[in-house]
This record gives sequence, structure tokens and C-alpha cells, in this order.
Amino acid sequence: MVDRSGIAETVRHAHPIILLGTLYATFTSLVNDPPTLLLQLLPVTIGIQIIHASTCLGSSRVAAASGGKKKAKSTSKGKSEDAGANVLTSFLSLCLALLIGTPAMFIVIVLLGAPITADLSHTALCAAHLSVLAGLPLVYSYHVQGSKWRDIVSLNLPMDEVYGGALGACLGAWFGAIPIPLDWDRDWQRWPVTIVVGMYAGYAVGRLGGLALVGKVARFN
Amino acid sequence: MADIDDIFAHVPRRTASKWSKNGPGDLEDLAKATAAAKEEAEDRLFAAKTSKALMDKKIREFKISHSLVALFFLWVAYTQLVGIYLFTRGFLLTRKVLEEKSECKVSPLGVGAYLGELETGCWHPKTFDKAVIVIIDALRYDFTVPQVDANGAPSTEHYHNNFKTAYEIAVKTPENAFLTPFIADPPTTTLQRLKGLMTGTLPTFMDAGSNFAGTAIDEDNLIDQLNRAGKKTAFMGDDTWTALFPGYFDIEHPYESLNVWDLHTVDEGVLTHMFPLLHPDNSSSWDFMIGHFLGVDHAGHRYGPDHPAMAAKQKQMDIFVQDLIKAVGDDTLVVIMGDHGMDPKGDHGGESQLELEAALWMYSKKGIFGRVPGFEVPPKNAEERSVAQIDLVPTLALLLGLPIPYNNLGGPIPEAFIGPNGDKWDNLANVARLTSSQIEHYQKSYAGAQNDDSSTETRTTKLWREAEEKLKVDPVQMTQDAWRATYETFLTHQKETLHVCKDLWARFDLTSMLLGIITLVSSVISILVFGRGVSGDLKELTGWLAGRCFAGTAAGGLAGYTFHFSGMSEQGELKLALFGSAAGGLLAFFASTAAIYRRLQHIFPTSIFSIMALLFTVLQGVMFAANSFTIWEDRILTFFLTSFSAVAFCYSFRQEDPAMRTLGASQSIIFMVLTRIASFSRLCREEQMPYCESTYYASATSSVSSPFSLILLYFIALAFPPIVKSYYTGTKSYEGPAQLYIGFALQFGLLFNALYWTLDSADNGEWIDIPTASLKRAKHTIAQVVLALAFVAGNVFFAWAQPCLNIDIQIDKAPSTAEDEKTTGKPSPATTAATTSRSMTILGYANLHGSRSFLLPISWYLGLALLQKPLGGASMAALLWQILALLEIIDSNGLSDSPIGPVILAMLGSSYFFSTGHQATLSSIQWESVFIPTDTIRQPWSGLLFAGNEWGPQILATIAVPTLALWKQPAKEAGLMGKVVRVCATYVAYHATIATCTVLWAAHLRRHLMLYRVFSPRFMLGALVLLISDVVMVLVGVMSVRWNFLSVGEVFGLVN
Repeated sequence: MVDRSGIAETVRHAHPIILLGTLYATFTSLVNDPPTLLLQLLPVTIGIQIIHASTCLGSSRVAAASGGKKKAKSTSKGKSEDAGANVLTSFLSLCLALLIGTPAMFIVIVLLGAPITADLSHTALCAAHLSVLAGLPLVYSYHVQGSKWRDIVSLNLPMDEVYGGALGACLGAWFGAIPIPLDWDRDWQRWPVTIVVGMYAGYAVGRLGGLALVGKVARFN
Repeated sequence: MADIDDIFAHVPRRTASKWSKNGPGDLEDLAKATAAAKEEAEDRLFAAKTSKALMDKKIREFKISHSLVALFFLWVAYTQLVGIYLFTRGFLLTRKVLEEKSECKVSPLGVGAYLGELETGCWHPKTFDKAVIVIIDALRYDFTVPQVDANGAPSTEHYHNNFKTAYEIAVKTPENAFLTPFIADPPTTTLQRLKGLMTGTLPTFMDAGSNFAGTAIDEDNLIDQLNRAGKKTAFMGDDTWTALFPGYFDIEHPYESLNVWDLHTVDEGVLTHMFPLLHPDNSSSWDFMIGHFLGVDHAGHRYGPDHPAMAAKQKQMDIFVQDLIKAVGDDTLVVIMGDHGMDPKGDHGGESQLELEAALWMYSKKGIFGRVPGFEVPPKNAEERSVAQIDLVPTLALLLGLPIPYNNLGGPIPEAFIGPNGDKWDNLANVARLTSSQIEHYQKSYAGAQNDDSSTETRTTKLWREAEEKLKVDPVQMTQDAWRATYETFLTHQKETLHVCKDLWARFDLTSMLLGIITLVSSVISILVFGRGVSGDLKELTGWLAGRCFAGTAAGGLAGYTFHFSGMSEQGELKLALFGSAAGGLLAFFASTAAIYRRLQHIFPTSIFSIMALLFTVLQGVMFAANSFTIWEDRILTFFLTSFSAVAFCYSFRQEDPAMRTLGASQSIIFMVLTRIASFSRLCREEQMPYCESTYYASATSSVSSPFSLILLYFIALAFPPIVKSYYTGTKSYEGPAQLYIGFALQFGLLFNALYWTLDSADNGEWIDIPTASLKRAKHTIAQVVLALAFVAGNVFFAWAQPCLNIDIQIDKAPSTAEDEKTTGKPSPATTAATTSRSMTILGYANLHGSRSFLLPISWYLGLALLQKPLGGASMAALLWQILALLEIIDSNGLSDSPIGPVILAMLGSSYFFSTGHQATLSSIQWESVFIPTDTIRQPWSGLLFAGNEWGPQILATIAVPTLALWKQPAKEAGLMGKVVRVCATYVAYHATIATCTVLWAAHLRRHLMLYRVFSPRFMLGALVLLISDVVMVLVGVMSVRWNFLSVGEVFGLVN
């Protein structure tokens, strides 16, 4: 479902670099005031994600609705009306990801040990970033097909770049929690800086990992 | 009718009637149904006889193979015990005790020095004839000086500004008294402190554990010197003294010291016996009097410092001080001191500043005390000025004209020798010289005893020589400034020596530590290979291995013992024999695995769950290298456990069967939410401040439970049994003994639990006007009933109980079909459709093993929950619920072969250790739990109660381990016992890995600043948890499986 056109190729390669670059450029202010920066960064990330999704990713709805012939078309050269439709789809995906993904991720992060009375805006923004990074491309690609989402949740989906990035973001956020308890007294240990950094780095690494392991399915037992 | 016969083909008749006892009175039905079969009675009799013989043979075989499994785990436990013992002997420091005594007639200054008589003072002219030494246990320095709050107004905390007299006198008439912080050397337990206060030397860590059984001091000490000088000693108070100095006191009134619930008995005893002796008529009956009050300490333990009881106790002590100074004569020295402080919630044992900072007040009517220039008023805190506790020993000895005890390392307290004008530097220099010379003397004999001439000795000796050189000038011509300089050189010498000694006694026996580490690491590898690296059924293999391992152990032990006589090692014969036995057993194990190399498989994980099991264990092991991770272990465990349940939630969506999917997902959510909720119940350790808020007690400066947690207990008593029941009704297993355990014992036991803690709170808070004695009796009786129900009745009945089964016979209108059975799914009972309209259902067949085996954790939960404080009891309920959720997650996702089950179960136990108000620190130990069912200490019961409180969660988790392999497993599946063995081995492997990691890090970081605060306590916790889970695993876990299999086998036949 990955578009192979020229522009798309460029966006696809530039995308993780731009994401990480943005985070790197704003890192100091992120450390100084996490919620403000996260709020400012959110539209930027959303923009980058939408551009990436609408240029590089195929939408399964378009594919399903227009049949095999159109699917071939949509995955070939990017036409302007397709681009418009793609942007619309990606906006819808954004709404879904933010509306459903953010509360779900918020609950999970709190259950994993985030403070429950303090720093709620930090946690909520962290959840929003996670759902935009990991959720938006997934919703864009798979929409709300029950069986696909069952596969996504149960790690049963064959690996690809989108899925790899999403899993990478989640794992990165998980590993990001590890340095928090250390008594190094660094400002960047502030909640949720390490989580956000881990999430972005994990997303970039996961994209590559998804390419390397394409088609593979994880074994639980 | 043939079908019914089929069912009973291998079932002894008496069992059939057993079932019917619980059934809906269908014995007659059953009889009618089998009427036709009875016609073939003779054939059946023959068949039954042969089947019975077969059955007996099978039972015998099972018993033998099971005993071998138990033996194997016993061997594992033995090897680990040896490893821990060897490491501990090298790691926990020991000090060589010299038995020389100082003599009145032998001055350390050598021949020609001042030598007085006993009447005038041995080495130095004495100042006082008599002394009254009063210890107010846990009298922290800030209790004794005026405290102000943030606004400058007097502090209103219950523990401030009550004990005023000492401070007032020290300020008003400084020549009569002085008050100063009095710094204890850790560990801050009373026994250790008394040793330090009387011998003047440093206690080593090894002695810390002996707080429950005081042992006599065989070093030179003040009491011994008093005895040798023919002085009469009188003692009243804490009975630790009589344990330390048996037969030394001429008058003694010891009182039980460990009952922390009792605030008054000891104190009243001291007050009653002290004042008559102080009366002038009795003055000839004593020279040296010791009174030891415990009320303040017990108020701290029981309620925490911020409680009205603490204020009342301190006020009582203040009045005592006023009465005491009125009663003593002019020639009597009065010393009032704390032996240690207390932490913010009133406990002690560790080395935090608040625990170390006691108070010292010396008083006499003679007016001989002075002040060091610059410290005219009592210091505000220890940072300003403080005195070490060992300094009391030379000070008392010289003031009373006794020789300084031989092993003393302290120096004279300047205030007592500098004179009222603060200018008698010559006197101070002289006493400092005496002390330093004795210390030099001691150092020489210690070095001689150790055959040790390292360069550090000469450094201190040089300091001493320098000081002596300064005295070569004619003493008459020396100015006070010169005396002062001399005194300061001696002081430096004393401090330097103390430093050297601390360093010297922190010397580890690296060989012994290394032997321990080798044993532990190999043991971890062996149990890992056994539990995860061998394919196929483990049951038969275990017996085969057990024999070889024991043979290897015996041979190795003998070899090690013989090796001792070769003289090639300095280690004692016990250590060598132990190491030999462990090494022999392990070698035998690895040699045996080589013989079955075909069955070996690689341990490296390939699936998500096995990677997780390994990752969690390894991450946890690695994190003990950092003190901050160790400090935050509670949060980290919560993080891991919720991560597991999140992944389990995801995995549940792979299940095709919607019922299984729903079950797995919902139980994962329950598991996740309970983990997070339980993490709110915690008691922060000092290092977690200020990022942590304790919730375990009513407030941060208290050790009383909040009323909210009592309400929670009643809520649990009502709501929890139905929850447990719901895990049984799913498979229709709520039959027979399950009804008794859950419906009766658990229901009433939990109510009693709540009642006990209500009475306890009523007792603490004096809510109701009932005499304490009868309240106590009621409380103790309830506790005893619950404990008997849980540990006696629960275990005995478990050995005899039948499986949780019943038979339901229905008359169907339409004959049931195979499809009907299928749709009911896995949790449905096994159904046998009669060919006619009659069908018989065995209820509870789907979870035949698991439902019965889980009865044991249920009854143990009841007892272990009682031993926790109310919030801890609630946490234990959450733990049991989480174990049940874990069982369902493991079963519905088909993970019974995966290592994740036992690893998560073990982590649950560790996590709830923190949720029940414990931490890996000495001061968080809840000693008072020993007094829940009784008033007195009676070994071994008190020790068991203590272990039940301290490691209750881990014990409960260990008992539930076999159920992991049995829950909802097909009753007649072959190799079930082998699965149990595998699960148990994995569980032990987890704890062994954790313990070994703590050992490795403690050894590696043995010079780390945080060794005694963080790494050493964590190592002790890891080692003890490993040993306890080993023991519980062998005695309870593995044994419960035996009864379970036999009981199930009696009904359905044993399957090997």
C-alpha cells in the first residue's frame, strides 16, 4: 500500500528525518516547558503526518470502493483529484485517531504508572502525540475494518512500514520511561520528555524495522 | 445403561456415593439407573478387583515419583542456601572480639604515670561516686530542644516542645548540665546501641539480626569494669540489658521489651523501682543505676511520632526528669539519653539522619560542666555540634574513676572535663591522652591478633607520637593554648583511628563471597536448563536427576571436607564442605544433562511472551545496579505488570473463540486496573521523598491505619467471596469443598479479619470504653480463630478434600446431541448423553485439578491477610484476585507452557510486598505483627508470624504456582505433573535470578556510599525471599500437588 511515485518517494524518505529534526530543534523548549511545546508541536506533527499519509500511503477505503482497477491507479502516479481525496481521508483519519486514540492511550499511560492527579495535560498531550504518530497512518490505511483492527491490536498484521512505525512508536515510548527514575537530576528527565523522545525515535526506527521484516507476523507463544 | 457403567468403569464404588453426598439427593436415581448393571455384579467384582490392584500400583508409582520431585526441589533449595550462606559469611562484616580487659593498676601511659586507688579514681582522679544513667529509648534530639514552625511560632507537632526541663536547665545553669545531639553508629537497633554505649566500640552489620535474642557481651565494658571495681549496680527497664549482661547487676528489674503495643508497663516498672532506691536511706545499696524507658520508642512504633500518645509519653518523661533531679544527691552524675532516634513514622534500624540523632543530657548538682568556646547554648541540630555515642564510654569511665574499657574507640566529651569556665585545657588534654593511649594499646593488640601490619596503623601511631612529643615540654610551663593544641592533636588521633577501624571492619572475605557467587550463578543456570531447556515430560526426568544430584552433593561434601585437611585453603572446614557439596551436586546435574543432550533445547526466547519473561527478569536484575532503580522498585514492578496485561489484552484478540477472547481481554483489563489500584497502597522509603506520598498509614508521621481502610476491610468481607466464587461458577466448579472454603471459611474469616482490625483500632484510638484487658482478649481470640481456620483447618482439610465436583442427572425431553455439547464450549461440563431421555452431567469437570488446587491459596490468603495492617489486608485481596485473573489469562490464551505465567506470578508477589507497606529497608519491618494473636513472644511461632507479615504476598504467590499448570487443564491429560514441575522450576528460576543479581551488585558495589542503605538491604531481601519461596515451594506447593492428584485420581484414575 505504499506509493512509489517520485514525490512520494521523497516524502517517504524525508518524513522520519523531518519529524526527528523538528523534535531536535525544539528539544530545549520541550525540556523547559513540556506541555506548551507539546501543544505547539502537535499541529506541526499533524501536518507532517497528513502530508505523509496523503502522498505516500494508500487508503484501503479508496481501494475497496473502487475495485481492483482503481486500486492499481491510486497506487500508481499521484493525480490531483486523488490527492484531494487523500487529504480529506487523512483529515478524517486524524479526527478518528484523536477522538478515540487519545483517550485510549491516555488511560493506558496512566495505568502504566503516569501520575494520576498531577501533570494531566502533559499526559494527555503525550497521548495525543502517540495517537497522531502511530494511530493516524493506521486509520488512514485500514479505516475501521473490524477484522483489520483486530489484527492490528493483536499484532497479527503482516509487518509493513506503517505498522512497523506504529509499533515502534509504542515500544519507544515504553523504553522511554526507563531513565525517568534515575537520580541524575537532569531537566530532560521531566515527565514526559523521555516518553516523547522515545516515541519519535521509536517511530523512525520502527519504520525501518517494518521494512526489514516486511510480511512477518509476531509469535506470542 | 451401558453409558453410566462406562463412566464408573474405573471408579471405586465408594467414590460414587461420596459425590452423591453433595448432590441433590439423587442416590436413589443413581441406584435405579445402575440397577441393570448390578445384575452383572459378579463380573464387576472381578473387574473392580483387577482395577483396584492396578490403581494401587499407579498410586504407589505416583507417590514415589512425586517424592522424587520434592527431593529435587529440596536439592535446589539446599544449593541456593549454601550459595547464600557462603556469600553472606564473606559479605556481612564481622569484627574480631578481643577479650583483654583494662586493669585499674595498669595505666596505658606506662610506668610512672598517675595511678590512683579505686577510691580516688584509677587512671585519673574521679569526679563522681555515683551515677544514674537513664535511657529514654528513641529520644530524638529535636524532641528535647524548642522547635518552631515555619512562621516562627512554637511547633504544634505532637512530638515537639513537650520535653523541656533538660533544655531549660542546660541554658539556665550551664555548669550543672549540658545537652547535645548524640550520634548513633548504625544499625540503630537497641541491642546494637547498648553494646556500643557500654563497650565504646563499633557494632558490625552481622549482629543486626540478633535483635530478637540478645547475647551476652564478652568484650570489656563499663558494667564489667564496675563489677570488677566492686561497685553495686542496679538496673530496671528493657530486658535487653539482662540479656547482654546476665548476672552482672546486683539489683535488677527487667521487663519484656519487644511488645511494642504496650506503652506503659516498662515505664511504670522503672518509675516504681527507681525512686525508692534514690531515697537517702537506700543510698548504700547502689553505686551505678541504669533505667531504660521504652514508652517513647513504643509510641513511635505503634502510632508514629505525631500522635497524642507521643506527647503524653514525652510529658511523662519530662516530669520524671524533674523528679529525678530533685531526688539525686550532690555526688551523683545524671545522664539522660536516647539510644537512637526515629524516622518520620516512628521506626528505626537504618541509618537516616533522624534515626541516628539521639539526645544526650548530663546533669550534676556539683556544677563541673563547661562549654567548648562557641557552643554556649545547646546546639539547634547535629550539624552545629554533636557527640558520638561511643564517646560516652571513656567519659563515664574517667568521671567515675574507672579504667577505660579495653576496646573503646570513643574520646572524652569535652563539656565534662573542660571546667565551668571553659578553660581547663590541661585536664581535657590529659584525659584525651589517656584515651588515645588506650586506643593505641588496643590497636597494637588488634593488629597482633590479626597478624596485620598495614601502613594505616603507622599513620595513626604517628599522630599519637606527635601529640606525645608536645608533652615533652615541662608541664608547668605549658600555656593553656599549648594544652589546647595538644588536646586537638589527640582528638585528631582518635578520629583518625575511628576512621581506620571503620575501614578495617569493612573488609570483606572475598574468597567466601566468590564461592557463594559461583554456587548461586551455577544454581541459576541449572534451574534454568532444567525448567526451560529440557523438552518433553519432566516428571520422570526429575526423579532420575534428584538421585544423581544428591549423590553428587554427598560426594562433593565429603571431598570438600577432606580438602580442608590438605591445608591449601584458609576457609574453615564447614565452608569447604558446604561448597564441595553444592559444587558436587551441580556437577552431577550438568553431567546428567550431558547424558540427555538429545532432549536439550535452546533457552533463547523466540516468542513475544517468552521474550517478555526474559526481558522483565533481566531488566529487573540489571536495575539493582543503580540505587535509584532499586529505590523505585515498586513503581517499576507496577510498570512491568501493567505492560504484561496490556500485551495479554492485545493477544486475547487473536483467539478465534469469542468466549475465550472476551474472557482473556476482560481478565487482562481487570489485571491491569488492579495492578494500578494496588500501587496506590504504599509506604515510601526515605530516599523516595519528596516524590512519593505514603498512603499505608493514616499520615506520613504515623503508623496507625486510617478508618477508611477499616471500611475497605468490611467491604472486602462482603464483596470478595462472591468474586472468588465467580471464578468457580464459570466451570460449574462451585461444588463440594469449594462451597466450604469460599462460602463458609472465606466469608466468615474475612468478617473476623475486619472485626479484629476494628477492635485493634478501637484499642489504639480509645474509641470505646472497654477495659483494655478484655478488649485485648477478644482481639487475640478472634485472631487465633482466623489463623487456626486458615492454617490448621485449611491445610488439614485440603489433604482430605474431594475434588470440586457434583453430578447432575436430568431427564431430557429430547436426546442431546454432539452439537449441543460443542456449543457449550470449553467451560461447559463434560456431558454424557444417555441413549434414552436420561442424561448425566459431571459438574466441575472442566476445571477438575485447578478448582481443587486453588483452595489452598484461598485459605492461606485468609491467614496472611490477617497478619497485614488493614490496607495490607485489602491489598492481599487484590493479589488473590489478580492471581485468579492471571490464571484465566494464561488458560484462555493457552500460555500454560510459556515462562510468562510463573514470572508474572513471582513479580506479582514482589509487587504486593510493597503494596503491603513494606520496603527493602530495615526500618520498614513491621515487628508489631508478631503480637497480632498473642501478647508474648514464643518461638518458633513469633518468627512464623513475622515471616507471614513480611513476605505474605510472596508466600501466597508461591502457593498458587502449581495451580498455574493445573487451571482448567484436561483432567486426564498425560504429563500434567511434568507441567507442574516445569512451572515450579521457572518460578524458582525467577527468584534465584533476582537474588543472584542482588548478590552480584552488592558484591560489586561493596564500597559504594549507598551499600548499607540500599544495596545491602536489597540483597538481604532477595536472599530471604528466595529461601522462603524455596521452602514454601517444597513444603506447601509441591506437597499440595500430591494431595490434589491423589484426590482427583481417586475419582477418575491416576494419569501419569
